[in-house]
Amino acid sequence: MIALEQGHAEFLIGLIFWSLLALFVFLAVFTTVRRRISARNAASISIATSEMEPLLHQYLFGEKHLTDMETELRSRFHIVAAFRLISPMIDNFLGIERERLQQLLEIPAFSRHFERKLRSRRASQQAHACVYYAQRKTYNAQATTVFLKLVEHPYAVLAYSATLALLNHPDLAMRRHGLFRFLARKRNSAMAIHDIVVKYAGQHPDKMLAAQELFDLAMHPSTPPRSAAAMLLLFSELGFFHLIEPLFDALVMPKTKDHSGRRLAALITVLSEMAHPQLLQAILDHKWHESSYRIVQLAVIHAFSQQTSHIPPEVVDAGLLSSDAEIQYLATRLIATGAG
Amino acid sequence: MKKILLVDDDKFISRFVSFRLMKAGYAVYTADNGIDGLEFIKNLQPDLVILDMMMPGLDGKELLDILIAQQVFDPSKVIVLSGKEVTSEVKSLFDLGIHDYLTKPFRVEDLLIRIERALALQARSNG
Repeated sequence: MIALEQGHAEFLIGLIFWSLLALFVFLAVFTTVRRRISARNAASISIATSEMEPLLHQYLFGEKHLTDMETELRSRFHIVAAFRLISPMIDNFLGIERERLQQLLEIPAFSRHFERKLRSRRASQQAHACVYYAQRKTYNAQATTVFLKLVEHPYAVLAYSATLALLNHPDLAMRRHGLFRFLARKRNSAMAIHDIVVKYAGQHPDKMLAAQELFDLAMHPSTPPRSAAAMLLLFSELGFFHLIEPLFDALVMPKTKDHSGRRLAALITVLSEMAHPQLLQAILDHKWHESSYRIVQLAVIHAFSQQTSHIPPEVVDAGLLSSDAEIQYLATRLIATGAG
Repeated sequence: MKKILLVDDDKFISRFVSFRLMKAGYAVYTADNGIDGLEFIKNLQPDLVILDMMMPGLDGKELLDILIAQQVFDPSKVIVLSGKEVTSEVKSLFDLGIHDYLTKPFRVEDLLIRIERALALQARSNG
């Protein structure tokens, strides 16, 4: 009886041992094969990039036609390589270069490739597809429902690229809807908000209305402070100087509670960039130089150093007494430049 | 042939722009970071520098500050390329003495016109 149980235990131990060994061997082989495939793909894309780059230059110089380029996109590596070259160029160029690059994206080889990626279950693949649709001139109406779903995806890059793609929608209401849904997300990076807000404002048929919409949205209590602050910081870059007084009113008579100091700091910064004549006095009146929020204190010091060479001693003192090393440093630098 | 140095970390953009400038008859040199850009400027003394602001490591503004502090290059021979147009930033760059400022995205034709104008002004001021 004991011998039988011992035999049974040995069998079980053996089974576990061989199963673990088989699993280990499988994982090792799988990882090696995957790495080799990735390395081979990267090498193929690199070769395709070196082939496509001079062709792309020739195309942009008018030495090659769209049909020539179509025949050159002979593998998925060439499509990927060409898109990696085209995408930053579209972001950086305007005029004839951008137009020709966007024409290139209409080639069926690209649309077929990215339609497949959009249907993929992998978020990174879908993000690539959204970047493609964001840069195309012609909007793909069939993909709207997918974009709308992806705008709220937890993967930030996917939500960002889907919103950029949705901002190409011909209907302004749909573009606005995409913008609102994206900005309602709690964890958006300032860079992502920059690109989306700039694109939305740039495509708006009425610049004044776009400015007012963005202002209202930044001041709305439901907009997360991080998004609101990032939007406000763009107002000077977007040239919304006609909003200088409403921005100042929002600073001194806030209608939205600010529990993080982000909106307040952003308002101080943007009003400093717009050089509002009453900003510095308002800071002193409200004692924002003594704020417990680090970002507010930083915004105050930057505003004073940008606007005047006569920095009041209380601002310098508040900076020197701050627990933050950067604020202390900036305050010390103000003294070195003769302020206080 | 006029020497132009292009300092931009995006090599694809940089290569295309440099080919375009070469076609326009300039001798073009490229650097993909601020440190190499500084070395090029010191050794090459280009007629004009096209300087991108956003670069990892030593960025365009820092490079410009070094050029001014060390007095190795005249900032009026610099055209700045920047991803964003913030009034205070533009003003501070012009206060440093740069020749011109262009926001990305930009028209390559616009850049060419500004280069021609910068070089023509230099020629006129050199007599």
